Amino acid sequence: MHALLHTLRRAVDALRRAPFVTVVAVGTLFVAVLLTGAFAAALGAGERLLAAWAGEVPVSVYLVRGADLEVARSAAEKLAPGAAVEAVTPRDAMRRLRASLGEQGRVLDGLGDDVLPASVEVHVRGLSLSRARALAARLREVPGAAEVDDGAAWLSRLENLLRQGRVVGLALLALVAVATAILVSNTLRLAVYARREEIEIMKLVGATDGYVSAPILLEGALQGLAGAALAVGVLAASTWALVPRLHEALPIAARITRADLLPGSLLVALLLGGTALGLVASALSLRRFLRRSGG
Amino acid sequence: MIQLFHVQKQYGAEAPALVDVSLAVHKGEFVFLTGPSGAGKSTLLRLVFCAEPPTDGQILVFGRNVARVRPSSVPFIRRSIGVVFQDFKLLEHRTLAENVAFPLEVRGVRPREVERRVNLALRGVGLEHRAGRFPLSLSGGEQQRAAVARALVGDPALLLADEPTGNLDTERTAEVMQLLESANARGTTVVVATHDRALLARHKKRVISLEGGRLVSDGEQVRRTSS
Repeated sequence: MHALLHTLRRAVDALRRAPFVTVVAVGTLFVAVLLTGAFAAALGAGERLLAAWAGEVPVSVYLVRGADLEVARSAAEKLAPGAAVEAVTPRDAMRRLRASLGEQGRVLDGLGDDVLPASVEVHVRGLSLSRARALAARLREVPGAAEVDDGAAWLSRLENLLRQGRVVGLALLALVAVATAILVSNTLRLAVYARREEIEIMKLVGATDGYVSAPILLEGALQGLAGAALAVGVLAASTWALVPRLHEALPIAARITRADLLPGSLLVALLLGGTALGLVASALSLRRFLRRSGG
Repeated sequence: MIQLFHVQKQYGAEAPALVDVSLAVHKGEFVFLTGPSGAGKSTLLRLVFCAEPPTDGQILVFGRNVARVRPSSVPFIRRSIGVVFQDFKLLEHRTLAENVAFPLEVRGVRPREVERRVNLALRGVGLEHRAGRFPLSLSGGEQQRAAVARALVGDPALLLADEPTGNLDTERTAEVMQLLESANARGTTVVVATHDRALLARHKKRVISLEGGRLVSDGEQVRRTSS
């Protein structure tokens, strides 16, 4: 207990004695954690946005001519509980087609209003490809169903895009983490270098490597924790301010909450990661220094 | 206490710093190590307190071969050795008391005991009234006495002093020598490296002379090396 308190006192004392080095180290760790956190939050937000778009794609059940649309709709509601089910008459389908073609909708002028089949559209928010396929399989049981379109082509492309985005994002995240670790290690090496005289004298009067290292490692961890806490504060404040604006600018993002962007697990990971980064960077700098200064 | 057997130290392609040095210093002795600049006095002291290993030969300190000792054992050997450096090696941003406390703190001595022994050590060198001052606000003589206090605070079995009076006038030199002799009278073995011949003349002790890294004389007995 005495040794622990003594180490803590030495670490806090050293932070107090070198305020400039402390500020630079905390600042570097703050930038490192902020960059990593912002990147992780942006990646998460991108994924959620794409998932929201995916949820907009309905599963459509096309009916055979003469099938009872109302019976089909109520059957679909039973097969997809909780989903929004919409009955689309042949007339509605033609109107939508005309609207989607815009100016070129005139090519449909010669056709009657009942050439397109009646259908039932099932909307499930945030539907994944596998769930869409399972739902489509169930909807084949709808009375009068001729064909079920699960939107797989669109969802499949979207899921591929998400997967690629995740890989690229993780690679970039790893790159940012390595770059910041090098930056932090170099900054903390300055902090260790600033104490070279003290370390030399400690070793000359019989200090073990453990005695020399303990407060410096603790300093690194405390600086990491301080930098990470600042970064988490800035990220939380930015999220608080940005999310309402995001909702205004992108209606599709209306379901993205502050907790989606900055979940508690990410905050904890950033705090622990910042502390670990400070600790590891200190250990690396110290190891090089102790190796150079010898016995 | 200290035994050197055919010790050699070479730095790169330079002329050797020590050549085939063999000697013994016994428990309780007071020995002067002398010779001109570059004779190898400081190198010999550095080898004894394990700052670096010899290129060849064996060095026994307290019966342990420090030429072959594991790095993890070095701190524990050093805790039995007090060292006074020519440039004092006091930390300028620490008070005198904090500087003197260092050897006790690294051993894990409790704060109350550290305070008691630091006060005793500072009183012993006549600096108790300067405990809260920083080294740069003290004279050279006071700084050297503080360095002696730091070397003695842990009651070392062996005290090594590298030119401890190099920057001091006659009066301050006498004060520092008195401190070293008092430590010796209390049982500490003392080795003082100096090139000050007047000091050797004033204090009738065993004198070991080095020249060009070779041992040229030891007390009354002169031992010329063969090569």
